[in-house]
Amino acid sequence: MEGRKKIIKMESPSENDSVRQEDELVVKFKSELNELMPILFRVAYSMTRNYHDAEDLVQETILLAFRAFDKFDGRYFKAWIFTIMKNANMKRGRKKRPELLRDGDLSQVAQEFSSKSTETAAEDSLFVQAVRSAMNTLPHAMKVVIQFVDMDGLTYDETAAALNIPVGTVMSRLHRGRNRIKNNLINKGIGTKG
Amino acid sequence: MSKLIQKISEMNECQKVSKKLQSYLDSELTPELAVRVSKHLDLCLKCGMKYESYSRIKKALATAAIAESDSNERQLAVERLRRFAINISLPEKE
Ligand SMILES: [Zn+2]
Repeated sequence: MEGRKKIIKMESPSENDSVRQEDELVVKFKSELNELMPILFRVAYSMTRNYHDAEDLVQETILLAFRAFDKFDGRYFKAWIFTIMKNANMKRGRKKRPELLRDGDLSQVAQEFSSKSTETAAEDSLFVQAVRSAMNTLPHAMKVVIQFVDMDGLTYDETAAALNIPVGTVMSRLHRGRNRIKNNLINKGIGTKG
Repeated sequence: MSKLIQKISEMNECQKVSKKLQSYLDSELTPELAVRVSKHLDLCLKCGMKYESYSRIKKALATAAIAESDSNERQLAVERLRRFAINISLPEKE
């Protein structure tokens, strides 16, 4: 790894035919990055709640990741890059975190499902809305963990890395949060069984 | 007597499994524990219903996530970022 300058250079697509001798790690890195991009964007969006800022944050994360590339050992890619993103986001000074769910989101979800015509679909849609609004009543710290695990499909370890908190904290927030959602639904008389 | 002991051990198992249900749902248990929870869920209606509740909540949130991530704007951003990442290059070793 020594002798490699930590300078980032942009390549125009036309230069692609002069294939660079990228070592295996770079190839692995790029392919993992490519695959992870939708999730990276979603995680960035959950941090910024704004498409433009989320795109900026992912871009910055990619640049930082490339600069720190010699510290990447090829393992725990997600945990590594989420840590970079989390730090980048903190540096951007985005302390303000708007609510995860605004009213508009709910109607969007409702609209999405209104095209389905069966009664089951309508019931499902109502249930989804109920769960979402129950989630909205949770403290922010709980909401974010549930968002990462249940909506973004991250593991406990990945969530811990993205939020820079211990795995035990991820578990307790997630499990307590889901229990609150469950109780909220029961209190509203919305069955959670079957 | 043996029936009572069996009842107590079943209750203990319910308590233990109850604490592991959400980790089981998230596929975060060791294989040994997962088998133990799975076997209990086959037999115990109470724990099974509890598990079903968590599972429905998780599925509902996944559904909401898909609905919210379908936006064109989001997909375009992801594609732009992919191109950005592919075109970045480390300088050749000298
Ligand atoms: Zn049980």
